[in-house]
This record gives sequence, structure tokens and C-alpha cells, in this order.
Amino acid sequence: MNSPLIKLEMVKKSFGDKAVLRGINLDVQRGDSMVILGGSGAGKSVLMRHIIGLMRPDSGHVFLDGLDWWQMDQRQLYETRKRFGMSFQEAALFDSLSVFENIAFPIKRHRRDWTPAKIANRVHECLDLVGMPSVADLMPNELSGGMRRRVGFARSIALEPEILLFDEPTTGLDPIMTSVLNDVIVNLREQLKITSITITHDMSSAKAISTRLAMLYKGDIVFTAEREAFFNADNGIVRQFVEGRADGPVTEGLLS
Amino acid sequence: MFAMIGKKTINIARGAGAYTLLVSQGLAKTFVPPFEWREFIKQLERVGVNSLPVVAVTSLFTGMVLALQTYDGFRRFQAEAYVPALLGLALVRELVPVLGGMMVAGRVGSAMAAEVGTMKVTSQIDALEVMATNPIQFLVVPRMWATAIMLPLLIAIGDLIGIYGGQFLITSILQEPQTGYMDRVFEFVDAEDFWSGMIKAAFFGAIVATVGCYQGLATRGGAEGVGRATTAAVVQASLGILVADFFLTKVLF
Repeated sequence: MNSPLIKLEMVKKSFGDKAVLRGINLDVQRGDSMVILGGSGAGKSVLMRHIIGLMRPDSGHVFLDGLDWWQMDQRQLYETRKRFGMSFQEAALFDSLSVFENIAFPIKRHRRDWTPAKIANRVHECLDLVGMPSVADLMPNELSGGMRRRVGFARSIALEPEILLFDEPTTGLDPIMTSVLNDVIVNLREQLKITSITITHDMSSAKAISTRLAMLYKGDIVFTAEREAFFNADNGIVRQFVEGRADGPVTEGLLS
Repeated sequence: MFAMIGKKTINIARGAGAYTLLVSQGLAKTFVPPFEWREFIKQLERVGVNSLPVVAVTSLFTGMVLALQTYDGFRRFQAEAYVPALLGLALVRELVPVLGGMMVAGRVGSAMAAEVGTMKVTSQIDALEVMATNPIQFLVVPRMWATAIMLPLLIAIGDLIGIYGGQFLITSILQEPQTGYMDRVFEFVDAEDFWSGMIKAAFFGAIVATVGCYQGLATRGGAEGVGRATTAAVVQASLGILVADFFLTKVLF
């Protein structure tokens, strides 16, 4: 097996007395579409922030191509960040900028030699990829939740990243918009050939977009497998989560 | 009880440390390209042009009320002729920079804290980081310099408005026109007095912007957190202005 693109090694993080990540080990290979499943409060968002170097682990390491985020100097760190695109749970668009300017923002900053026409082209290309060709002139507050997220996707791919991170891309959306967004993610993966990591608790979305899955439970990765193996696994926690049952080890863990 | 005092002390020390770090990073990042010209110019307009009415009204009424108070007092021992000198010195050296600075803290510092705080709680600051953009370089540096440059300009205009306000009150409202009011002002106010006010204003501007941004970046906990950050920004910036005013006066004279 090739050396993994992203490797987490015994990553631990606590806030005060509360241990959120208790020694995470995770490998993501190039070209994987990794989905990390976990219930509310399992530490999914915190894990994502460690993967992109926004949070520093209390102990352990996050490697990218064998390089530790926290051994880099700031220039290296920002150079490495440019290889990532991340779309946030609530899209995190800049309210003061129009959709066009939001997507052009990373391009203008990191492709300083691009002409305005080239930037405009790229912005429209990104909007087409997420299926929103005609919203460029609107402001973020004029968009619905699902549209904002799609604009967030468009912004995250503007610099043609190698790795895409999706933080709960479909949470709180209706089933139709959920499958639209799933299709967008699958399309992005197939057209751009990128590695992606998605955290979610939405099973339909996990089924649609994953090639590998990991189960996060109480700050630990309790199970990792290829797609087929994962959905047929007899791990109690995975089974309960996949089937969405009220009784099982997860509920017992909550009550105990 | 001791635990509480200890905890408060630690929090204050931690806050002071974090603030100092922010200011020093802001200064260091000023000289690291790229400089955010667009953001800088936007802030110049927001801080400068848009604050002019507030500073103008503050200065006008400060000048008038000071004239009203002193004119009556000075008349009792026939020293009305010194009112312009007193007005000039008090306004230029102290009152307009401090009161104008505090008004700008209320207008601009709070807006910065609210804007940056909202960006923080809606992950826009994280989004900046993810897009390989340093939030201090992008948000704090332009705001800090824009306010440090614009506040002195506002104060310079405010100085004039305040002095003319005094003249207006004496001539038109008290109906006791003084010949050579302006000459008397300039007889006593030196260039140094004016510049000391300008230097103070530049520092006050930097305080307003950095405290606003610091509170914004330290925001936690949704809309309520933004509200707390906004209040804290105004209170702390105003206190900062008063304390800095004392030390600057001590150093400058």
C-alpha cells in the first residue's frame, strides 16, 4: 500500500476536563472518499479542524504527505493549506461580499498573476460545477441554506485543491436538496479526481458519496472499512448507527 | 472566594497577554506583503468619513459648553479675554482627542467587534485561515492603521469646530463679541499643543481598532457572545483611552 496522503497518529484533544479526541488513528489514501460518521457531540468538527491544521492536538500528530502540520513554519503551513478546500457547515461565506467575490476571494489572493477575465471564467466554471450558474451577483443573505452551501463548495474548489473537506454538507436540508448536494460531491470527486473527507451523521449521504468509512464514537475511531464491508459489519456501534436504532450499545453508552 | 479572585486575576493576565500578542503581530504583519489596500481604503472611509458627523457634533458642543462655563466664571474677575486661550488649549490638548476618541470607540470600535465577532462565530475567520489568509494580516492590520490615521484627521477638524463653537457661543448667544478671538487662541496655542493632540489621537485610534478586533476575535458563543464582545470593546477601549491619555500626557510634556 502507498503511504497515506493524510495520517493521524494518536491525536488527543481536551477542552478543560472534557476529552474530545482520545487518541485518533486514521489513514486517508490518495483518491479516497472518506466519510467519518459520528453522532452529535462525537468530536467530528474538532477532528476536521485537526485535519486541516486549525487546531493543535494536545498530543499526537497529523501528517500530510509525511509532514507534520505543527512542525511547519507559517509560510509552509499556508502553502500546504492551499492544497485543501474546505466547506463549512454553515458555508461561512463572507457576508459583505457577493457570491462572485466570495468565490474570487481565494483566487485573487493566491493567483495574483491572473487577469480579471480569467478569474471571472474560473468563478463561473466553479458555479457551473455546483449547478448554480446564475447567482453570481447575489449577496449570501439572498440565498437559501442549500444554495449557500453550494456556493461554499464552489469557493472551496476555486483553487483546484487536491483534498476537499466537507463539514456536515447536508445537515438540516430537505431530502431533495440532500441528494442534489450528494450528486454535486460525487461529481466533484469524479471530475476533479480529488481526495475528500466528509463528516456527517446523515446515512443517505454517507452511502452516496463514500468509498471508505470510519466510525467516530466518544472521541475514538472504533471502526474503519471499505464501503461494502462497513455497511455489512457486525460491529455493534456501526450497526446501530447504520440502522438508526434507538436501542444498542450507543444508547447504553449514553445512559451509563 | 480566593479561588475566584485567583481565577479573575489569571483571566486578566491572560487577556492582557493575548492582546499584547495581537498588537505585536499586527505591527509585525504590517510589513509582510501583501498589504490589503482595498480593505484599508474601505476602512479609511468607514472610520474617517462616516465618523465625521459624530466627532463634529461632539466637538461643537464641547467647545460651546466649555465657553459657557468658563466665560461666566472668568467674567467675575474680568478675565474674559483669556477665555479663547483656555478654550484653545483645553480643546486641542485634551478634550477633543479624548472625547472624540471615546465617541469613535463607541461608533467604530463596537462595529469592528461586532463584525469580526460575527465572522468568528459563523466560522468566517476559520474560512480565512483555510484559504491560507492570515486573519490578523487581513482584518487587524488595515483596521489598526486606518483608525490610527483617520482619528488624528478627525480630531484636527474637531479642534477647529470646537474653537469656532466657543466663538459662536460667545458672540451670538452671550452677545458679547470679542474682537480678535482667533488671534487670542493662536497667541496661546503652540504647534506643539496641536501635535500632542494629534499623537494622542493616533494612539487612541490604534487602541480603538485593536481592542475592537481583539474582542471580535475572542468572541465565543453565538449572538450573545457578539453582544458581550461589542460591549467589552467599547468599555475597554474607552478605559484604555483614558489611561493612555494620562501616560501620553506625562510623556509628551
